[in-house]
Amino acid sequence: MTWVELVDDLSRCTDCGLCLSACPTFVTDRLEGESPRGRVHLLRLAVDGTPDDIATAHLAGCLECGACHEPCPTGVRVAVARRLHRAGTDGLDRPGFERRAEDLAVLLAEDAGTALVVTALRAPVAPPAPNGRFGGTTVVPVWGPLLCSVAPHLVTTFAARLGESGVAWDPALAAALERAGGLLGDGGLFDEHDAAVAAALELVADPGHGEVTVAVFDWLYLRLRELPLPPSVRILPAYDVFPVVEEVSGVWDHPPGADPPPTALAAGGYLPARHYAAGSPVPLTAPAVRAANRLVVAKREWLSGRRLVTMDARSLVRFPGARHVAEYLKPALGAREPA
Amino acid sequence: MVEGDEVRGDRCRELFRAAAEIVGPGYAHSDPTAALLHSYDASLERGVPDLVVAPGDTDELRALVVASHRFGVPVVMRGAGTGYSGGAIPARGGMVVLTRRLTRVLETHFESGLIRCEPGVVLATVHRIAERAGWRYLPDPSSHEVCTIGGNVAENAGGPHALGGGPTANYVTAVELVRPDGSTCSLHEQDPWDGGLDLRSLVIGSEGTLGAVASVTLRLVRQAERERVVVATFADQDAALAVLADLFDTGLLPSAFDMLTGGFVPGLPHHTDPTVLFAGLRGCREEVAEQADRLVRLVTARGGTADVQDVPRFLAYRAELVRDKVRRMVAVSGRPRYYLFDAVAPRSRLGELMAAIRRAATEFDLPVLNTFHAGDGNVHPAAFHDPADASHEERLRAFSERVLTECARVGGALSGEHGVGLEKRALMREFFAPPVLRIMREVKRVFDAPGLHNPGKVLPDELSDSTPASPALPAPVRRTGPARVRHRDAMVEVCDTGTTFGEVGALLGDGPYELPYEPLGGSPDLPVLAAVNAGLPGLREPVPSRVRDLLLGADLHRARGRPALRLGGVVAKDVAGYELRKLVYGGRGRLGDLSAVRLRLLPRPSDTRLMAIPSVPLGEAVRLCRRLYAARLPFSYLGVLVAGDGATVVTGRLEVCGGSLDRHLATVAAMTGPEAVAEENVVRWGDPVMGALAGSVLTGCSGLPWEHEALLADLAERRIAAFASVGHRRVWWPGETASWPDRTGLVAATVDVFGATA
Repeated sequence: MTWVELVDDLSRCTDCGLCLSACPTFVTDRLEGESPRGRVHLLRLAVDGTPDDIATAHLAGCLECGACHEPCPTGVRVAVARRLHRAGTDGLDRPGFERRAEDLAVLLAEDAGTALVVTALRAPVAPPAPNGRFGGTTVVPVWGPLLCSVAPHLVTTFAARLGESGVAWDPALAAALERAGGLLGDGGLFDEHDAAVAAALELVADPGHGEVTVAVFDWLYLRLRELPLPPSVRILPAYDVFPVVEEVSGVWDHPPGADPPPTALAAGGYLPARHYAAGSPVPLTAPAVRAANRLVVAKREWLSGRRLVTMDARSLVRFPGARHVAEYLKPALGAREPA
Repeated sequence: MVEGDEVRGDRCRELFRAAAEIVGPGYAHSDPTAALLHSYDASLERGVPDLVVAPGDTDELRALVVASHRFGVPVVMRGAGTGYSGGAIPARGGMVVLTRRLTRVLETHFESGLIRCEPGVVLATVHRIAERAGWRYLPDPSSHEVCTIGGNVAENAGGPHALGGGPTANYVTAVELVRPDGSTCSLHEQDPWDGGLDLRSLVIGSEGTLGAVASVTLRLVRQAERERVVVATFADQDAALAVLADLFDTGLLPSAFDMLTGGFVPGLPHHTDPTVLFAGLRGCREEVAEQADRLVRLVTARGGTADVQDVPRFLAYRAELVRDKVRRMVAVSGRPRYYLFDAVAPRSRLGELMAAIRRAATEFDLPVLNTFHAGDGNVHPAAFHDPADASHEERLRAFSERVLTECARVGGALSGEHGVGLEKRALMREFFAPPVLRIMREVKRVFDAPGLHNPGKVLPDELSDSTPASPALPAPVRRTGPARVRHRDAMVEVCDTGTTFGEVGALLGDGPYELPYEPLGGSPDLPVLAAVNAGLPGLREPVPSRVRDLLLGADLHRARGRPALRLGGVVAKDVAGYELRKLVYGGRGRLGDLSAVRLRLLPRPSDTRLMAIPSVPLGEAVRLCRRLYAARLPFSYLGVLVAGDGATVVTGRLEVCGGSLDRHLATVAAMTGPEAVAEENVVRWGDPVMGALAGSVLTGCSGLPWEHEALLADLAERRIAAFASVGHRRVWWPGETASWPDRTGLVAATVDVFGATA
């Protein structure tokens, strides 16, 4: 689907405005151009012509977090539309990506989380990951390059313990899914992203895999659910595959649209809506990076004194003392049948 | 003479320069993107502004109003732009003023439940501030997470809880209005008691056409001890409507009563899905328990299934249900988008309106879902359409016109909460006679002579004097004879100047409803019309509505052959046009001879007890009153009475609609001693306050009893009877009302508009 085709989808917008309060960029300044409804109008405008600099900046400010999708009565998906729009109008080659990263250097320095994404994109080949079989299902852990970079010890320990429980290795599938997980598109490398998606789909189509359960250790990779995967492939957050070994109290990062966490993880309550940028990708445009920075600062203030439990590797570098959920999971296959 | 585009453009450019100077360059925009982004709301209407500005405080707002008048450019206020009638759209271009930076909460007075804030404060913020302090702000339109108080006041917003508590107007105690010269004036709900008129009620719901609102004072209500929602599901829409009728026939008034119909798809008669009722109940434990029990029995008797849910569970359920229904409608009908409008029928004729909606849906081939405030007869037909179909807009407009015309035929209202805006202004003639529309137009001129505030809204285009009234409109009434009661509509019409409160009481007998109005200083022999005309306060205010809010309609006859006026109608939810009907409360004959009123009735309490603690020293009485008020007991009124002999009595009345008062009586006894509470006694006319002030014309001064201890001491010493009422926030004593200073001249000019005086 191209973004122009998606404008049909946008025509379902009734302008009711129920999305406004869910949008992290709108609630900051309450600017219509920074709202999902405003962006619907700007995207429609962009079909017929070139938006001016102001409209372009408003569009570029979208974090593509999808928080507006849930409250929409008619199912308009602004984040998807904007992502496709960006792919159609804003596609970059690798040198283009490098130039953009340089332009954003100052902003990136303010937010270690977004800088982490850029670092990962400079080496977009994921490390091999273990796969395991139990109960007739292949379990594919997808760590994501961000977590591998921030908490390599956590990943290697978890992987080793998994290995001890007796697994057959198939790193190629995990690596392919990781590349197809959307990070390349976030950085504007849409051609590479499309190629990665095609490669992953081809690999998944191999009947030898049978049932596949993908255990995701980074919220970003729940976006794998948007790929046209066969029904034999399920994408689950890691805590739905591996048992939680202890009660966890703290504030749980919970982006919109994500599955509800196990009760043990939610003990400390959820973050309020204004911090929902957690789990959203960060398109590398100046307005979006600025908006993300503002949200991170607000969230840091809000968190002071609270412990954050997260499945977002970026939060580990953004919020001092944050703990990754993998620390509380038992790395044993067969301990819990996938739901 | 039509002004050339060039001249107009010049004036807008000059205004833009002035506005940028006022608000700073970062907050004034005239680029095409800004214009596009402020050209729409949730309606089908569109209008493109010439400039968009965001003032940072009241001073900047005032300066912008002055500048707009100086350059003769229209000015339109805009909050979140979530209105459904085009109210915030610049129909004739000009300057859109965003309230997004006017977000200060200026004052809070949590002891008595008041918040004063700027218009850009988001409704959800008010909800949260109130909740944290143990209060509740009841208006709850579906856009509450993002819509603003300014927008709510402009449109007189409602929501599900408008059934039990009324729309926004019932909760606004004062508005501060910016005048064309940049000065501000405060319009207060107590003005009619001080000799003014309730101009506040004109501004609320005027959609920004009478001026820019700089601040609003809101009255909060106590958080209920318990809240529950009865969710009832029916296979058949008619059975659900029958429950609604049963409910009101037996005098059960839920706090909210909404309905979600099954989807209706023309050509697919076998597409059925359930109709769901949501009845919100709030009050004391006993009230909610008994009301829930009654409701469940009514539902079961009509073949439905009922489930009593707590509020968070209900909200999640409703959100999911609505989303699910919409998505199913899209899937079944193949129409991806819907258009929604509001319309009101009297409850007693809701069935006719629902049938008319289905007929119109069939005629115009529009699948319809209706999620609406059934208790108020306030429908929200959502017609599904395909925006790719070239004729869709024409059909949608024809559909809404057909439904609204049917509303006029059954005696309903043009809008219950969305306002008239651009969308419905042409239909105003179906609901208001030409003389009433002319008065509205003149009122507009009084407030905004050059017509710069939100022009092109609310009122239809100018009419000639010979334009006949729509045949559907009832004529104003003047006749002799008894009052008439419509139980299902919970309404009584009094159209004989001699009809007394005693006669209305006798007419209502032991039935499920009562008229909750016992005028202070009055007696059962007092004529109802005289009390309304004099603006006498009710003993029980504001539980749950003030007397002015009971006024559904009023008829005025005027001197010198001017046509009589029928103001308002028979439904509680009616926000179309300027709320002229409330002006008759305290009109004192200045607007004309009040010849009829239609008043809202409320269910009779299941238990009511007088509390009177005599012979308490004044200081102690005031403190006890304050403690009783803070104890969150179900008082329908409470205050400190200074009797004619100087003795002080703390007195009030406890009332519940469902169950008994036993638990609350025990609390009162523990605070005051067992002898304070009388045996059950429903005759409020005999209460000590009524006796002490009987036969007197009253004057008063604003404030709570504990703010007026010195005044009360003085009155006691002079042996002048007085009642310091917590509910009115006012001390009353016998005396002539002072003459109204009318500093702005607005009252005199409004009186002139009615043309009743020489």
